[in-house]
Amino acid sequence: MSSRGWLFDINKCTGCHACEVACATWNATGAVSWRQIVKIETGVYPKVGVRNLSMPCLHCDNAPCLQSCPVNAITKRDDGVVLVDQATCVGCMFCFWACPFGVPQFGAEGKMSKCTFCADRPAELPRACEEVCPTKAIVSGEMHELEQLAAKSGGERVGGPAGPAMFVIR
Amino acid sequence: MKETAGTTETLERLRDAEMTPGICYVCPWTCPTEVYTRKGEVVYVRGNTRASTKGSRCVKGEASHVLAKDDNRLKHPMRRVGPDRFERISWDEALTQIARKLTDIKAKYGPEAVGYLWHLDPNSVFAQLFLTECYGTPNYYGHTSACEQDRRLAALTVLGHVFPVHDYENAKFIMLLGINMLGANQSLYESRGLLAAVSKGARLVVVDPAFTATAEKASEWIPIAPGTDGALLFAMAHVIVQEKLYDETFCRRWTHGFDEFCRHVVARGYSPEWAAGLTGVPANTIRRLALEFAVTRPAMIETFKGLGNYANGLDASRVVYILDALTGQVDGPGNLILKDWAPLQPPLTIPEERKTKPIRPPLHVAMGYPLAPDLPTQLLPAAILEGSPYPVKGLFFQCTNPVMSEPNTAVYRKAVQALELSVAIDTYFSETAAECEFVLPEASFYERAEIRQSLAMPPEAIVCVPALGAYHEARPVYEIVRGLAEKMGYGDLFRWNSWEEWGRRIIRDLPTDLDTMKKTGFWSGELKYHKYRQTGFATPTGKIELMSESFAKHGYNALPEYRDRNVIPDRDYPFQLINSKFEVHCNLTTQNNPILLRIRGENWAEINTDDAARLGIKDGDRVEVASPQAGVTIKAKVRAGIRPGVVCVRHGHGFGHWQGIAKGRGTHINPILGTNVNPISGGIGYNECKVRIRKVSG
Repeated sequence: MSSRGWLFDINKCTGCHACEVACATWNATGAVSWRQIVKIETGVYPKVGVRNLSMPCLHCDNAPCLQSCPVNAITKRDDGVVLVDQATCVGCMFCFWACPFGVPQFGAEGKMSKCTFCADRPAELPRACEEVCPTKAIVSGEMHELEQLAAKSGGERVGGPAGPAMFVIR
Repeated sequence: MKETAGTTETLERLRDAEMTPGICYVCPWTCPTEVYTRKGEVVYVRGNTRASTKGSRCVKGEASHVLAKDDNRLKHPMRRVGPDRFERISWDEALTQIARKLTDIKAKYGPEAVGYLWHLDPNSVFAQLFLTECYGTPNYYGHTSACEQDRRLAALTVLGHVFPVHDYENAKFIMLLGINMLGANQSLYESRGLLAAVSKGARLVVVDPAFTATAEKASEWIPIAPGTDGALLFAMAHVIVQEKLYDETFCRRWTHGFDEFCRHVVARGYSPEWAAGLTGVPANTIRRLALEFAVTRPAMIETFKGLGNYANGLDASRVVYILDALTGQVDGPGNLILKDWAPLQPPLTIPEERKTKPIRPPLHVAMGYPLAPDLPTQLLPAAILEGSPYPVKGLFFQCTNPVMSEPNTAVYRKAVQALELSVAIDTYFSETAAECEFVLPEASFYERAEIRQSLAMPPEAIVCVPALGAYHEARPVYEIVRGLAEKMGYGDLFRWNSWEEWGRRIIRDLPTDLDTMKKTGFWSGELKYHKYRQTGFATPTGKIELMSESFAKHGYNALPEYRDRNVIPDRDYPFQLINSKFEVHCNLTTQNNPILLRIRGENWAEINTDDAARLGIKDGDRVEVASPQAGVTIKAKVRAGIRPGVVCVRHGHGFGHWQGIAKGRGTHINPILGTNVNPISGGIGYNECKVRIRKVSG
């Protein structure tokens, strides 16, 4: 079974937040957001540059959240998607401290929630964030296909021992 | 009429949901959508992928499903009974009383004493037909003076077109001044075209004192001194003329005043060296930009609201289009497109014998602005409070909030309070509604029908089919106007059994029918380039007017001139105050959306890193921004991406009266702005403001 993940093109992202809102709308995330949008400005006037990041759960190969969970509320599906069972979650936030990317969110009820890779969308459809993205900066798919797509534009997989399932074109 | 598209079959959640074509009217770009509903609830909305806008769906539109059941919306008609106190009344009471006042005002002052203003204009054509043809006032106006008034008048008088759009994707050189395509999230098909062009290697030059979202993707950012864009543009024209880089064949055939313009820019000494001193852009850079623009095909220079934020913005905007003309870069692939419109007709016809002809000229003409494409709204308080140029006693405000959006807000509030009849028609309560005698709840774009022009490149008409039943007592404008017409003896002219009746009349000249459009959501014609070769340009001479006959006729300089902006920083007020949008908000209309407010709940003032260090200001500090007129406090955002000596405030926050969740969040900057009006276009100079800034608290 091949694994699913993301391809994110920083050059295309304008930081418009449409993905964040589409995610919140489709997944009814309430008070929390499953995508974090970050605008990073660097340089000294007038030589400045801005990079926009739109960060979902990266559905890591060796998911630190899963390993840290004391009640086994977090599981990894055969297709690589990492999910949390909120009925089992006790809200201890160990996953939050374990995640290198600050993904786990805790709403009013204190249970962890995060990107489910739009669990109810069949694989052949775009994710909600991907569908709305005005500039097509977000692509989801099989990791081996994304690898080829990324290579065409000099993109690379996000590094680190967790094995994040995301390629980035920068 | 409803159909099930592929998605509904694939997505379990959308099984059995009904699709109706819609128009997202969260901003004036009116993108066509597909709205999926089940049992009176919106379950999913996406951009209409088959229309020419190719599935445009921005962050604001994506969050707009909230409208369908937002408890903060206006639910029933209200009448003001005291400061911030309203009582609920019935539609019949409201319409009867408004009709009576309209009749009284007409008898006492003439019909011209009544006007209608809109920011968003869904179905406003009904109000236009009733007020301008039946009631007899010429004063039906939009919001352009607060927006692209200068650009619009420049496009009308130079190119003979009201609203050029952009074929970015095919362009190889694009220069944008005072237009933030990628940050404003408005015309997304154009934004995608722009990014596609950049990824194919097009040169994108962004001229703006702030490093905008568009500058992020640009090949080059020119952080020009605020309000000096005209000098840069004149200097580019100077280079093109001196080096004979123009397309002489095109200019001789298709422009008016070519020789005069060429002599003019040289005689005035509009050289790169001259412009460098004003703009802060080195002469060599200006010369290089002129060369690149002139020799690259296809190429485009464009502006929008930015230049018009200064009192000198009109002539600067004219030179934008003159540069496009000098190089023959007009209405071809990769150029500005002088868009064809779909041949739509009015929804109803008022017979000649039932019409009332106004006696007085429209307000903008009486105010001394005959060329203004829309009302110079900064002069409206004088008409209301002093009767100059003639009395204005009754105003309708449809989805517009001038008490907050205009500079000099205190004067505006006083003016609205002084009206004998004031009617707000809106989906939400507003600062302006708070001062109105009557507040009427308007249906949202989920609950009303509409057929209108799309802003895509080809001629295109789009249709909004009501997806939901009525929200409480809210009504579409066509029903509100029908009620008013009935009360005033015109009921027989505003009569229909269903919206489809007037819908068919609107599209009667299209080679399609309403049933088809109700399935697809749009009718699209052929995109044609270089249409002027058959038709000429819609100017007095039929050519692009480098020298404007319209200007000359009204006693203005036929050739554009460079003037300094009105307000220049000095020792006491050393910063120029400019303003920009948030990517997730549209002017004053989206702040009450909880999803968008969560992302941008508070606005800020951007200040350059070096300026901030000198003033001891850190990112996130509260600062006072004070003009000679007044001061406000606001959060500071310290960044490298803004020109030193400039403070940029993101507008749209700081509501005081709004009942909704946006109340009290952020800072309203307009009270510190004075009145600055372009002397010909009547556009508002929002950035004509000098300020000082100091830290208030950490």
